[in-house]
Amino acid sequence: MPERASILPGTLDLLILKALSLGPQHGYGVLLRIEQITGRELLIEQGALYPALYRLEHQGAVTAEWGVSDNNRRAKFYRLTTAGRRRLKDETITWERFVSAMAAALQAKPEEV
Amino acid sequence: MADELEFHVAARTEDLLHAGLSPQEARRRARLEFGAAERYKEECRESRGLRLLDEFRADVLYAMRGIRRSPGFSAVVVLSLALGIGANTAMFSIVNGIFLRPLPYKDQDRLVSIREEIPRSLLTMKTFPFVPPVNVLLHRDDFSSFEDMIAMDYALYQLIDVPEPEELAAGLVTANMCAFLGVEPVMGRCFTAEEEENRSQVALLSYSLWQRQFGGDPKVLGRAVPFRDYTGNKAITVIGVLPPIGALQPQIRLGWMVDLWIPLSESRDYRRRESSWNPALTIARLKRGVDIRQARAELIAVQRRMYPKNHEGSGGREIRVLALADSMAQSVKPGLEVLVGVVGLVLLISCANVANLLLSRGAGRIREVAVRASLGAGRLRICRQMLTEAATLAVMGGVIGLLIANWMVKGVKALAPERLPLPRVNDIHMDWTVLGFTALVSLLSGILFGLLPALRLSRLDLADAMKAGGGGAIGGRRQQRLMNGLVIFEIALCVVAMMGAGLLINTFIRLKSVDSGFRGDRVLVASLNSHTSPGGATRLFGEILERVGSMPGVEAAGLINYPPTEPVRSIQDFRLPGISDASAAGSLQADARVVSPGYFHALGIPINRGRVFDERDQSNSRRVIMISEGMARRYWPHENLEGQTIMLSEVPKELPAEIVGVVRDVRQMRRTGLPDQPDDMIYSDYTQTSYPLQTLVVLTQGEPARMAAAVKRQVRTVDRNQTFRLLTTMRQLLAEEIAEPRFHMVLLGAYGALALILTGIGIAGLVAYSVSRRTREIGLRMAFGATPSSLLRMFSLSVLNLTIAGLVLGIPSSLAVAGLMRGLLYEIAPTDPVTFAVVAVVLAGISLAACCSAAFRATRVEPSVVLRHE
Repeated sequence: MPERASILPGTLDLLILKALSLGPQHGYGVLLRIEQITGRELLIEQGALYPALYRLEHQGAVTAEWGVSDNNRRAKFYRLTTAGRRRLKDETITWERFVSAMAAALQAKPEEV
Repeated sequence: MADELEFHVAARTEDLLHAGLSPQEARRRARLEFGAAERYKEECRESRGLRLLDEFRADVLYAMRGIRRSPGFSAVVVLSLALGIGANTAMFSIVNGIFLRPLPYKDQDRLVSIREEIPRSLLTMKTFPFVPPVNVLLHRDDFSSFEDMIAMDYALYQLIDVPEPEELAAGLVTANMCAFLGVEPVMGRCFTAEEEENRSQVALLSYSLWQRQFGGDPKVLGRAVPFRDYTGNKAITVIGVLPPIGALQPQIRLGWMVDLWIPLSESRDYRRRESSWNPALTIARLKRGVDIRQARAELIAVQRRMYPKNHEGSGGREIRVLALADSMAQSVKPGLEVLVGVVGLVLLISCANVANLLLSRGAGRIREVAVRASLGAGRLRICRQMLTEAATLAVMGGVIGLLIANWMVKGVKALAPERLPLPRVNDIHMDWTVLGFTALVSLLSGILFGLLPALRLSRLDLADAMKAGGGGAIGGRRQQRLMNGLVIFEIALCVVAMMGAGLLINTFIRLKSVDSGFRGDRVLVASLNSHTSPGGATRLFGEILERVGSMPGVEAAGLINYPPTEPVRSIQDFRLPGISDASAAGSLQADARVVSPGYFHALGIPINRGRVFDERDQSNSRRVIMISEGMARRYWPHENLEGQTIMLSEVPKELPAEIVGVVRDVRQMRRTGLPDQPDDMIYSDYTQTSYPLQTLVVLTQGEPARMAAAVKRQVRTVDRNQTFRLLTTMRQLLAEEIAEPRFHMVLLGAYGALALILTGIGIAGLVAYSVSRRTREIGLRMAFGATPSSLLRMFSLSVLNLTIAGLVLGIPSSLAVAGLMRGLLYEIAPTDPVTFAVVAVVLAGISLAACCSAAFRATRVEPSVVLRHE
């Protein structure tokens, strides 16, 4: 297995919101979808997913209800709320500014200073 | 949450299986990838903000474990609380039923009863009502305070020509009753204004009468049913049946239910009877926004304008406007207030008790708490845990208390005999309000008694506590002082409760030994009524008397219109000849009774002077009377009574009556349930003064109850439609007479005993704690030659000191409380020193017994073991 990058603190919430914006999912499904959309480049502690999900639920960004999974088992499905959608938008913008700032910084050459 | 994490691991395992791993390997890898499950669970809970709840759960579990570990201690705590809470819940159910539950009438909170209070001294034939409610009724539309008004009076009707003729209480009501109360007949219709106006012979039946006498047959509607009252027979058409709940059902006489409603005009046309007559009950509905005070002020103002004369010289007369629910509950208020107070005391005692028990147990747990605190538990956290423990015990106490209460309510209702004035007794039962009350009381008492030990333990000095070592010397003097204080408080409360009980027990003993002045055993009592002209009534009663008097097994038979057990005053105004009517002493009063000569013999009332009525006294001969000894002594202390005459005030003119005999005084029952001093009594012969109601008293040779059926049959051979409202023994009537004081005594006595038991438990707990705290000291003392009895004496002395302190505190408070009980007491002062002495001695005895049972352990201490132990 190739070496994978650890995710930055605070980015897990954003990843969960993004994953759920693509459609409701249960916890394990969220994990699979994150792995899929990140091209398996990021290392996620699987257990850490749940405290994050509960936190988001408590904050009102997602709602949860019990349903049946593809293989007919009882599972809790999460869905993005309107507040969650707004938060995803805001945090995406913040994230993009952060990334471009970081990229610009890292590409700086001596003559530009 | 666990499910969800489980699902995750299972799903991952499955995926890994598909990827070609072995089942074990897949499962292992899935777990590994998931990470520290327990930590994440914890984090999940925290993310959900559930930490408090989790800790609470842990505390409850911990408390339960503690309860299981010391079952004896827990049982005592829970039981003491259960008794306190149970007693309170039962009392609350009663109070709720009688005072708080809304009456089943439309807008019941705006209903008021209007009545006039006339002091007994002003109650003569000549008094006119100060504010005649009948006039209020007549002018009801003129009042700005009232929306509408109804009035009700009572009459006795006999349902006749049925297998079991029955005397019924009829409510004579204004036609607007149904609309006013918001009650719909279950069948048929209500009265119309025309029916009231035209004196129509129509009636509404009670649901119970409809079921009882007509088998619930709907065909009774429109039927003319034969009834009779004292004016004779009549056929009354049934127009409807009222439902069991919602019909006007005030207490006429205790235990009586109205079974028949008839338009008010039918027997007394109030529209033509201005000012001389009052309906028994006048109920008005206040307009929205008008309060009782305003309504009363308006009534008085109108009265002054309409009847200026009546207003003058009306000293002591008062118009009373009361919320309807209050007016119905008034008769029992004083008794219940005292009971509620005492029950509250019992709860306080049980709380103090439990606080003490927890404190003493807390002393044994100081180490445990110290360890927890040194491991980092905050003060608040420890406090919370202690409170949770207390609350857990309280909730258990509450649940058991509820069972006890249920049982007690049943007991109280069973104890309430027919004549007991528990109005709305059917409204007394457990419901959600009562459950809520219990829950509240349990939780509050949990907090109340849990707070003390919790605060004490949480303020612990860690270093000291850890140093102190073994169970012995921990807790210290301060705790002992606190516990002493609680026990003194308990004893003081107990004194108050026991004083109340003691005074009522004394009252009851006195009531039982009251010399009523007549025979109680071997007497059968049967009430009779007549339905014909006055002459016919005399003939009817005479014939019945003759038939019954000649029955085998009957020694004597007599008649009286109201027997002494009936709380009725029938006032006769009179004056002594030679003193003119105008003078101040002109009008005198006595209670009047109509009797047959056999009455005195049947009840064993001796004739002190003169003679009994006999054949010389006929309806057309000179009017003669007999009087009571007290009356004779009052007016003719020295003179010879022979031939004395008094002037009876009769309508239309005075009537001279000659005194022919003097009989012994008899105590007459009062409405308050307690007999007064004997009244002056004037007896007239039933052949000279006809009265439509009579009570047959029969002196039998054997057990009177066994003669009841035969007497009834004999009476019915004379009058086949005769009804018997009363058919019982004099002994039974006398027992019912003191039913209310007995009810109070039993309840208060039970609560007093409860208080005593709880206090005993409290004292025993205190001594046990003190013994365990001083084990080392006791060992030392014994090593130096103290004997077991000297040790017992030592503990007894300290408990005696506490008891004395409790008595000193309790006696003044119980004096104050006893003052409130004055109305319930009979011939005993609220400050009765004998009762106080008995209470003090009993309390001291119980404290010593409790002390010795607990201190006994101290005498078993082995000095060598204890001293080596340290």
